[in-house]
Amino acid sequence: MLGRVVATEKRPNTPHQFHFWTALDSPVGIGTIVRVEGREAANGTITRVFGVVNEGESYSDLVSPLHDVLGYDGDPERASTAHTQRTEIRLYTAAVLRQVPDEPLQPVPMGAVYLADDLDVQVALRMDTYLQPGSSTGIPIGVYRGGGMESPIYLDADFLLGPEAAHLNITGVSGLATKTSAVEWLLSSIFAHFPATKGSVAAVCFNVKGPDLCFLDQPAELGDEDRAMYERLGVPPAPFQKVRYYAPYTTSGAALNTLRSNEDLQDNVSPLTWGLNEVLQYAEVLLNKDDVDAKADALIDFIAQRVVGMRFSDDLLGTQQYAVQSFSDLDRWFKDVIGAMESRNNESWRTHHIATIRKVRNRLTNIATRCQGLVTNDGASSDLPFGSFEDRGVYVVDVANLEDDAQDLVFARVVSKLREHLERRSLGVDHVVVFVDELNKYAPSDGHETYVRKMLLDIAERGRYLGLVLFSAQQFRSQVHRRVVGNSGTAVYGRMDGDELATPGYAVLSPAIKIKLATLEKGQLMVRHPHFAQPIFVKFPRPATLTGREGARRFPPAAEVPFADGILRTLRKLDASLTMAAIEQVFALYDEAEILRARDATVRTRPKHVKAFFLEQFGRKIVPRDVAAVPTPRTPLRPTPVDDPYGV
Amino acid sequence: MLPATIERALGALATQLPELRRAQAGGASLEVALGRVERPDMASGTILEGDEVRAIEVQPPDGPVVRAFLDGVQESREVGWIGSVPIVLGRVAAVVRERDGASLRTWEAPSRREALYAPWSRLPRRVRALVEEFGPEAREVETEDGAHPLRAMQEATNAVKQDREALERALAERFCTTAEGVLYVDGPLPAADAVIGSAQVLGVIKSHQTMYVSGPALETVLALGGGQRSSVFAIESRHRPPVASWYLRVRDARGHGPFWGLVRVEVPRWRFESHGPAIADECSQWVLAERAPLALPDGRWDTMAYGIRSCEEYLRAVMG
Repeated sequence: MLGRVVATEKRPNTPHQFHFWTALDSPVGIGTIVRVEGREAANGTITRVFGVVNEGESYSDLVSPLHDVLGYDGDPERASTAHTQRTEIRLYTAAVLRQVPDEPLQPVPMGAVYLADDLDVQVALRMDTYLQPGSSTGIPIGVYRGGGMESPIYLDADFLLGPEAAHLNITGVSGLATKTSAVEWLLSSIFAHFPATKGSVAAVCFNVKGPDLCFLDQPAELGDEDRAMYERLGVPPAPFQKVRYYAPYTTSGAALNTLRSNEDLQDNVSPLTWGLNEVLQYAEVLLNKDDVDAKADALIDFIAQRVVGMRFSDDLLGTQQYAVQSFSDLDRWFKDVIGAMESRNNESWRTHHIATIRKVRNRLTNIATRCQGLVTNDGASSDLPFGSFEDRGVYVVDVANLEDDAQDLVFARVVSKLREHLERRSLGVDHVVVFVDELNKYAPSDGHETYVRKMLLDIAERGRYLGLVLFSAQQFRSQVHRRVVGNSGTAVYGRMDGDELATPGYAVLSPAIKIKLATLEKGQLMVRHPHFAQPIFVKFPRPATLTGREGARRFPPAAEVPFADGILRTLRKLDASLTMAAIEQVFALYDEAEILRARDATVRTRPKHVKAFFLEQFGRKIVPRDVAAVPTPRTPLRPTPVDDPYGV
Repeated sequence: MLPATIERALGALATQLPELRRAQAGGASLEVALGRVERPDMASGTILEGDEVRAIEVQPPDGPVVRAFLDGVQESREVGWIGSVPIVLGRVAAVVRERDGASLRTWEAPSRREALYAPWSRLPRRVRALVEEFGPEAREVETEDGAHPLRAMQEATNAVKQDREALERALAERFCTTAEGVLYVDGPLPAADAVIGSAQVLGVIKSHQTMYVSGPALETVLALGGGQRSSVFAIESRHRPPVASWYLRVRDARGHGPFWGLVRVEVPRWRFESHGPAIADECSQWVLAERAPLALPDGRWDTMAYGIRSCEEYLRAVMG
């Protein structure tokens, strides 16, 4: 027995809360789960109550601190060596997790208090309802540790990945790697335990800072304690098996803009590049609403529907036929339209005023500059494999080095495409978890409405029906839109900042829970889940994947190389035997844009003969140079005599 | 509020005895309500140490030696009347709290007793029979016919006190015969052979209704400084074997009255005869070692050891 329930008129027990005292050396602490055995039967059944300790008090029979000072003549040293200690109490308050039976719901009875064992923890957290053998939907999130117990804690897949509820939000201070680690661990756990009957699942992770998610396929060194936890929770202590990385190019276009650029890790890294067509669909993300009015909107729609990707001609432009595929094509088109209007002194064309046309030209062509490396000039795209997502696959989109606008664009387009494919059931998997850090940046609680925020709200509120699940993280939950975090069925908290805990959103937590949150060790979390009546503290193992920092140390990013070397490096991923000598001629003859276009085409096509395909992209121009390189002799050499003793 | 067993018994009694008038049990106990104060008295003690009572410095204590503390409590309440005869509920308890490291815990089970006290002999026989039938013990209180009804209540309170002393005595006797270590008794040493014969018991008296020194000796005692004791003297009584006793100032009384911080210590006289004045020094050190922690907020904290307060708090808790 651990303690005894006590209640007074001033401090009564209720159906939701009770008090108990324990011996001074009891293992109870904040977050401990306990079981109360009632003494009297209600409806013929002895009530059992499960609770979690959320407050604790300790006091002695000392009425005034001054009495202690007097007792030891003001000498703390004497007090510390006192041979008699005052009677002291450890009085705890616990919030009720569950009463069995559920009805009649009565105030917690007086009774004996026991530490909860594994089975008690299951019942207390209602995990017994979804851990039925053969039909379990439990996803381990960690172990609950209390009084020497170590009980696995499971989330319900139906409430984590839908359809009953969905989404997970994690809050915690930066620098402890708790948020990223927790999500990596949980994804491993989902991949290991998501029931086959629920279909397939994949994850799309946006790497928004540093090398955080750049080494998910590389194994970490785990200690014995972590390995034991993996075994206890039934999750293989291994990195993710199917990981693909996507990153845009650097502004020079020669190399991918990611910290996963070490040559040993290039097998599963692909460029993420979009053409005009892809970008124009999401122009709203990049254009300022205040700047682009209804008239500009109408012109953009016209361009998207009538100009881009099709043959275009107009009386204004004479006989010229346009096939706008890229930003450079579009800029030429704009130039011709505006030039023609000016030459004819027209103020408007097709109801669009010249000032509007100029403004839209300025804004759209500016996108290519703002998203350099992501947006290609040739209109071709290299994208995530929408339609052929693999079960248990992880797709990391590295946007850490992109400008904010470009990050928004990537985020908006990728998530929209996921949604479209899930709606059509054509993604390749039934569920996809989208992990995004720094949620306060994408869905802030204040500021003007943005496309990304609207999209996140939509996912949060409707995604669970589609299998589109948002795992989001941020340092300050209070700074995230209420409806986004409010719709997260599962909320996880790592170590919290004191100022954040002082915000109204945490008013429901007791001061003791708050102080525990403010001092949580790495690897510990507080979890709220629809089945848990109260938040529960759990410990989770270190992810079995390399951390960003360790990965960057073990696999240092490749040094920035000259343009030509960058191109060669990219092509060598397709054909390791390729040499600089084989392609160096193109760098002398062609400008960078043309070379990049050829490189992109080669990478997209992944041809059998890489060198030949790459050179073919430059057309016939290559050949004359080869021919010209061979000097033509003015006078033919005299033939060697047949009997020349020096001939071979 | 009365204990459930007593409440049930009185309820049953009331149905059988229409003449029983129930009295509200709330409010102050009779010990407080009757406001009885013992009359201060002077008694003589024979000086055992030297020719006159002197102030003797006690060496500071090295540490605790006392193993356990014994104290008892009593409570008397008026619960009913039959005609002019009061019925008093008396509840007594005693406990030994022993040291467990630096904490105190209860030694064995506490002794408790509750009974209805009344001059039952002045009531019809069936009344007592009914009381005993419903549970509580009926204890006879001696009073004179025609005495003031409150006199019977005072006598009942005295009877309760005697019962409390009996419990304390029995408990002390049990400790002295079965346990080891020094027992610190709150009050005079109980008159039991096992106690008086024990080498490990001392009584500490906090109140001084009876002073065992007079004249210049009284002046000396009242002028004792903190940590000083008086010379040892003997106290003889018809009710128990003789004891050796001395006064001890446990706290510096500057700024307070002459009785502040003054206790009287008792040990069996044979111990003084065996060990001489050293026993007084040794026992005084044991008492001085119990000066902290303070027994506050008890008003008698200047003379009360924390262990004794612990006994009282414990008994208050178990008696409800």
